Amino acid sequence: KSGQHSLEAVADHTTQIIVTCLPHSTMPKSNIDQARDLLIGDGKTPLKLEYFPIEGLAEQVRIALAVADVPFDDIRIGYDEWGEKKSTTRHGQLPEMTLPNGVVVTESMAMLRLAGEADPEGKLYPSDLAARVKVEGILGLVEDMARAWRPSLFVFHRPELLGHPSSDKWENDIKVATVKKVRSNFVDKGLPRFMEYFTNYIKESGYKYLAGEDLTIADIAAYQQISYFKKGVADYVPKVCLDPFMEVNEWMERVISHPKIASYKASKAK
Amino acid sequence: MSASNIDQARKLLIGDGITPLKLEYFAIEGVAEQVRIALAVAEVPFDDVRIGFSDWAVKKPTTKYGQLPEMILPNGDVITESMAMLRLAGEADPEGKLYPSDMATRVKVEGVLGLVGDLSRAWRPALYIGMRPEAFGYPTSAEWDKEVKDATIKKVREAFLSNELPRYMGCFTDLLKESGGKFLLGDDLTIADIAAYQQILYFKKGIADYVPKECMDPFKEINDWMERVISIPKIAAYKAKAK
Repeated sequence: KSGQHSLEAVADHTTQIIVTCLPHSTMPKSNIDQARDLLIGDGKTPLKLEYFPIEGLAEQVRIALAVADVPFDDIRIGYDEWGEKKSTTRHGQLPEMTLPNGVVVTESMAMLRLAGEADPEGKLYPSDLAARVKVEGILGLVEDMARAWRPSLFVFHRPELLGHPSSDKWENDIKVATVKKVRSNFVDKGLPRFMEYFTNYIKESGYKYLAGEDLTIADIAAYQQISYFKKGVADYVPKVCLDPFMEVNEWMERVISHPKIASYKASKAK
Repeated sequence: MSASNIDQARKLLIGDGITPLKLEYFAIEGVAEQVRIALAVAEVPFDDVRIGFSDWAVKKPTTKYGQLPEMILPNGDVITESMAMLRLAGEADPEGKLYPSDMATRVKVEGVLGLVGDLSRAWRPALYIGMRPEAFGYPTSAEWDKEVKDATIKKVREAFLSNELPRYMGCFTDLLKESGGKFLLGDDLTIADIAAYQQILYFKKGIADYVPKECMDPFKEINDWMERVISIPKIAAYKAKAK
């Protein structure tokens, strides 16, 4: 085998000292190195991220890649192209991420974690497991909140999935009243409950980020979901619905002012 | 060099071995069973604490986020979210196979976990329309005409069986064929198999009205894979003990 070897003493907690002699090429790579190898490769073929021309589930991934200094082709698939594109995807869904080595990664949360692992500062998705399990707890909470919101989303866009008539068949007065009732219930009860939980995380962290002093992928995922409610794009979910939650609003400001996030958002500004 | 994932995870979950890990959930499989199985495979002992539904009202305000499961580590830290627990248990596998630290493999595990989440999300309205109809824009169970309620549940569940179930079983079958191995990602069981197994098993139980046990019969590769999962010695032993 080629020249270089290093003598590595590895202490095994429970029993003995194991002395191994390993060539450099077989030393286990850090998470950061592994993730950057996968996402950047030799730097010749860029990473590709394909999604619709909206923020949706991909924006958290785009932000994480920006914070981790991983360049990527931000490909937007028009809705008119989706019919043809869909059958070429692995599971009939977007986003899809194509690594420089050709491997296709599916599922936005898998992509978010991989991007997090690639953070050169090792902070977005810490390899310390005690810190990581906290990040995972917050990611789970974000998904719980998305789940609580989902019927409100579907009752308007895909009512037939909830057993209601499809939009073209559902009498408009009844549809409007139902949408109003479901969404008002979320705004009045569900949203404050989750905002309380996120506020607890913010307080625990000393009013920094959700998991502690540093931005993590939990902040990015939570930011995207929560900021949606402030946009006023959903009927009966007024922009002001988050006004009562001071700590959450301050945290959102903190996230969006993070230099790499601010710069990413500025570069995308239309 | 920092401690390996396995060492870190086992230290968190086992500590000095004096205070046992506690996992608290309801007396059902639900979202905790995948965690129980993963802990069994990773050989992490734990107190499998079951909270009766009648005790929940008193217990709920003592939980961090009004939800179960909760996992209490030997050092007193409380972990929430079953998927966070599943990943931590996976990290603790002494063989390093349940949740491999090789990033290329791990991203595949995460891809399958995401797919399981998609399936669970697709099933959710069908499941909860019966239990919490008002969340979906219907009258409460007390107010909803029983025949109309029943017909709606039937409609939504049959639509799931016709459209979503075959679509997802197709995705999982493709994964099995691609993996060329016994499990979803290859020859070794991962937490993706455990999560998928528990979700898919639910549909075979025949416990939801209009979702007969036979609905899974057409999916041979899936059924064979499920047999392989449940026959893993540590899983079989856990299931036998848990009865």
